[in-house]
Amino acid sequence: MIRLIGAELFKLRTTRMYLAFLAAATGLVVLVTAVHFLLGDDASLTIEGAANVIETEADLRSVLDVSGVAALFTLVLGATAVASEHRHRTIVSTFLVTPARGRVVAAKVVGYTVAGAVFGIVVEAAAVVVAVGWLAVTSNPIPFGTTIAAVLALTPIATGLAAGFGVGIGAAVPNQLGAVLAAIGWVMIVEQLFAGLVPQLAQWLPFTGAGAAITGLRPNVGILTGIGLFLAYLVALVAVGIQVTRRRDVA
Amino acid sequence: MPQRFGPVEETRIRPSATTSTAQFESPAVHIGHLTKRYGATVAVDDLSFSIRRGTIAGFLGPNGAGKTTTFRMLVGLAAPTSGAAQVLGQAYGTLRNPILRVGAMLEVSGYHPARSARNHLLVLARTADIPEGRVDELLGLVELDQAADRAVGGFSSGMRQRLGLAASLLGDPELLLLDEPANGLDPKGIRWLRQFLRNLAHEQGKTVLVSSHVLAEVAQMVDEVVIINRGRLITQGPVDTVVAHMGRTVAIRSPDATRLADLLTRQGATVTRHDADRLLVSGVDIEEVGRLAAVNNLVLYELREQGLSLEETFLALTEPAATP
Repeated sequence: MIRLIGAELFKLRTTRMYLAFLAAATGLVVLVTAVHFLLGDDASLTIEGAANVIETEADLRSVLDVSGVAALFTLVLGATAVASEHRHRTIVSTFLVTPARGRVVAAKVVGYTVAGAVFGIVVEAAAVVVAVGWLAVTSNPIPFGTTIAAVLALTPIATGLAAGFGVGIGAAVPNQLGAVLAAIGWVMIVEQLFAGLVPQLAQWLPFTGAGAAITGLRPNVGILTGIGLFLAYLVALVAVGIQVTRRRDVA
Repeated sequence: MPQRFGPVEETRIRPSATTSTAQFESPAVHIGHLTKRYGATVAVDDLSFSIRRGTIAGFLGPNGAGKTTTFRMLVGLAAPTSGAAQVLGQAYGTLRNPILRVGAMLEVSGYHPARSARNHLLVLARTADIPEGRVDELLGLVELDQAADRAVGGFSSGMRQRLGLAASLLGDPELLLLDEPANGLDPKGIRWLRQFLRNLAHEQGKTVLVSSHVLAEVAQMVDEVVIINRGRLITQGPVDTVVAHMGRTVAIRSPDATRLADLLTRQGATVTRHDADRLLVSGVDIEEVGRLAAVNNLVLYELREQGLSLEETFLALTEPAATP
């Protein structure tokens, strides 16, 4: 299994997809964070919920919590894991080497979770560099504390698990475009509709509920509960993905 | 090109799985009453044949005959509707680290366009725990060493075929399943492939099942042929036997063709009239035709025996009328 996971990480390293996603997410976070500080009191373009002037630890935390945007990127990245192999027909050689398809999907889930966590670390680091750099250059105090430390530690967990969740979607929906649309549609449309119409239910859904709880954005759902709940969704989805992958004829 | 190919002996990779006596005695490939349906379409229809170990066999049929579907079921990429498809005495999916025992190059296989040839092979090598040196060895063997670090997206179809062949050989397998490997190769490449596969089978004792829709492409290198059409077995056997099975015909040109045709038909021969003075006759010896003409004072301008060419045999076997 270790070999399989290593091979999945090697596949990620040998195409441009991962780096392109990472560059896009990092660029977006750097841009939004920088614009937030540059615009100062102009609230029209600031980060949602973030204070314009960083005075407290909570203010800084709201700027540094990039888990939402980064997790969306890793979710879509994960969704391409199985689907892109079908698209390019590399799935044939993958299954020729490893006919146990469940092991292939499981290795992808673990590999992409690791890659997704690294993704979160890089994107988070970019946000920290911009925010702390700005505060230091403008001679403002840096209100660092445990909640900031928690965000820094938990963002990679959120992005890693989102990537694994994406692999599950891609295994269940082997068409690449279909998998990507399903992933984005679920987070941006389905869960948002629930959040607006049935907020009591939304707090238990994978992203608006469990995912948000991981970085402490759900006061009534603990961080560990959030991780546990997200893992439960992930395992259920991956089980469906493995069944679909096992039963489907290739090419 | 041929200088580069030869026995692949530098890196020997032995199967890690134990081989039981039963497996050793089993055919390299066994297809038993194999059927694959897609809705109302029957892609493979109660197909049965076996390939014994150490032979090189041609798997022939026109496009759409069911060759690729059969290969896909042999390596577990598609599930049979019914019947069995086994390699080396067992289902492909039950082989431990299968590419060390069975190498497959399938038409349906693909490459990530942005990944280099070397990295494509390295992905497979790392998964199967094959030494990375083997990758460079094979890239040299198929003459892709100069292009090894280029993205496969820029490769010609011939280069992709050679990369596919390298991938199938990665584990130094005892059985090779090659689906239309000559597609995209130039004549020089096809000659290279022929020599290479012959060498694998006859010098190294490997078994090769190679498919093609062009009989001439494989006829010179195979020990036997399996011919299928519309998913069904047409015939299996050595090339010479298959051609002989089709029988020989006698071509006649005579101003008395009508009279001669009557006489031959009465003798039990099958007569096909091409035009006013030309006949094609089967089911009778050339000597008998000559004697009959002489006895009846019939003039002959031409009398000759003709065998069907390999390609004519293949076409005759796979044309709709030949389907049982």
